Amino acid sequence: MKKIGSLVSRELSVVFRSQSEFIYPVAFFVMVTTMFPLAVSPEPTQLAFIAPGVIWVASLLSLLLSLHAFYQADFDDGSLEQLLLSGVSGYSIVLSKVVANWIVTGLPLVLVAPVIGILLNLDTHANLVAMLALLLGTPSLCFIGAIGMSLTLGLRNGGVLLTLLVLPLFIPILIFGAATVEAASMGRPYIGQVAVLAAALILSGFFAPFAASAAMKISID
Amino acid sequence: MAVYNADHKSKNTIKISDLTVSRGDIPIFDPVNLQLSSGDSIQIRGVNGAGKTTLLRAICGLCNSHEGIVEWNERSIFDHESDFYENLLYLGHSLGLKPKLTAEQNLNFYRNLRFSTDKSLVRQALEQTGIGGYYDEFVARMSAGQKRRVALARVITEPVPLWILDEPMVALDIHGQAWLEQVCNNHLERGGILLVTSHQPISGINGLRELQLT
Amino acid sequence: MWTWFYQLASPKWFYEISRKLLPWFTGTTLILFLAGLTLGLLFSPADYQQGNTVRIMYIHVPAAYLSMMVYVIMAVAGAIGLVWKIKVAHIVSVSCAPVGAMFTALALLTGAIWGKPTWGTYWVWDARLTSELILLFLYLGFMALHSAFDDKKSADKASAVLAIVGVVNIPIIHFSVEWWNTLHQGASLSKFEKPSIEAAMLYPLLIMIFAFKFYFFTVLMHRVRTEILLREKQAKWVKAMITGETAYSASENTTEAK
Repeated sequence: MKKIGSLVSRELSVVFRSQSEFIYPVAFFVMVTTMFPLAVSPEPTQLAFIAPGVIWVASLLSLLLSLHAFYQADFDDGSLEQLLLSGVSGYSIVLSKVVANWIVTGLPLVLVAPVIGILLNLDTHANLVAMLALLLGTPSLCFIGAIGMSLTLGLRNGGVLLTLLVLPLFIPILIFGAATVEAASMGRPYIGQVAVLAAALILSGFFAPFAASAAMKISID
Repeated sequence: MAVYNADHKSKNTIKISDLTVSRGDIPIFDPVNLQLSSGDSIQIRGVNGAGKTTLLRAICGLCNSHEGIVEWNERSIFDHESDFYENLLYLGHSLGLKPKLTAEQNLNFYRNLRFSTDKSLVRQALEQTGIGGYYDEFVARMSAGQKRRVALARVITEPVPLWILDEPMVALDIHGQAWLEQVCNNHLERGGILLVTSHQPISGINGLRELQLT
Repeated sequence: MWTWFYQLASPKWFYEISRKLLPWFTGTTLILFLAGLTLGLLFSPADYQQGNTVRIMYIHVPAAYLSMMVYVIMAVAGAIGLVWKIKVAHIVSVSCAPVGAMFTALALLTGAIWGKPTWGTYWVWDARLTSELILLFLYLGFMALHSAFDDKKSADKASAVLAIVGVVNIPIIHFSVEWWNTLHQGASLSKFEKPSIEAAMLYPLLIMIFAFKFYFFTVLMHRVRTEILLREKQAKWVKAMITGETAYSASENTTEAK
């Protein structure tokens, strides 16, 4: 626990030293969502109709973007092997990475989402539900992404490959995440969807670090 | 967690049996057999591409395609990973320093992973390596030699019995090399074990054996 | 007790046993295909609604079935390779991928062809077709990952981890897609849903499924044998076999390996 704490705090101090990394994914999120009214239609009911999907696809992509920077630097400068060789378990490394990744990328998305929701004509209730859905869904995405990232660490075209590996695995979260927001915006009950998102978080939180740490040890060769 | 004081009281051994690494089914070097106990040191020699770095990484358990056994105190390191890693300090070509953190922050971080915080020891170690004045400098702004010194300061801040150093002399000036040799001698006198690779001959380490890789 | 298990681990043993099995598998595949296609295309009745277009089912359904089965075999073989460090298991796992991807593509293609006369369009976001499409992505990811590594052993291990992660996810993905599909129903009436199937249609279908299975194992064996030769080219027994030394075929069967 102490190790995970110091790992997370180191991650955060590295990230906060250069604010750009902190801002990029959120900026990406905001800009991508702004493209939709321009490309589809600024008509309010249509916007509200596509809003849940747009918010989820955009946050999924911006998380994907952030993953690479988060793991690759540690691999390149040798920190990752130093951590493994200092007796830190792969499990703790992955867990602390995911926690830091979520604080830096996932949490800002959760906070910015209502603003985007307003731009896309979602009502207040649906906006709050969108925050809740992102709060439960984005950590799962970070966990699943950790597996893909650990598998592609040492590879030349790792970034593109990561997308190929991880996007299909994101699909259940995408479906239920977007469906939660959609149900809320149409005034239907959404508790079931939220429960599924929570279950997915528990499952991915439990299993993904094992898979990711196994993958990390393979990649480090 | 074990805390190692000045002397490594218990006797340690590392035993390497028939260790090879292959790339695409072709072994890089002939099987290596090696046994080192407290106070022993060895220099791995070989031409470029002979597999010196690969051998050291395999000993650390970082190679997927290795064959053979590595035992720390008669227990396989692959089955008792954490036991081995708590006693190991490996410094490779990548130094594992975060460029966006200061020298001191980097050292404190690694120290905290295995030992209790000791900020004065970290300062002291930086003094010894001759970069005491740069403790709050970002590693990104340092020269290659300074970075190497920061990484090497870990041998003082993390007193573990087994050191595996891959080309530690690279980028060090004469003073740095002399300091390193002296530190290694102290380490061996106190019952430490040292595995080292180097292009240039190392003259200053007492009782240094040699292993030629073919 | 575990000797047979570790024998299986030896590429040489697998190479020899598969050489003896291959003719039988090839023959069975041919017979099953002949029987299944004859029954299916000539002797089974046409559907009262869909007419003769229903006959594409005899390709579509086995392909879809195999696409799932092959992924599971791929993951199980990969897991065995990881846990017991067995070379042949990794080779089997890796050899499964292109075959499985082909079955998946075939299922998608026949589904689309079937869809045109049935739904009036080549593609609808039907739950099964969507699941198949995602499965194809998973196969492509597996193959891309394996080919991205320079070192075969790292490649084997990494892709085995991915296959295991994938196989855990497939039911979850499938469930999500089914649920998503019922949520957005309206446009499509699923023609793949068949609560009752006539015996005259069922038997050819079952035969075709077996034909596909045997076809898969035959192709898999060929692929595994090729991969073994590629990887073991440094091994004595391969060199001896290639150069035609008699030392190799000292076993009872002395027919020359091609």
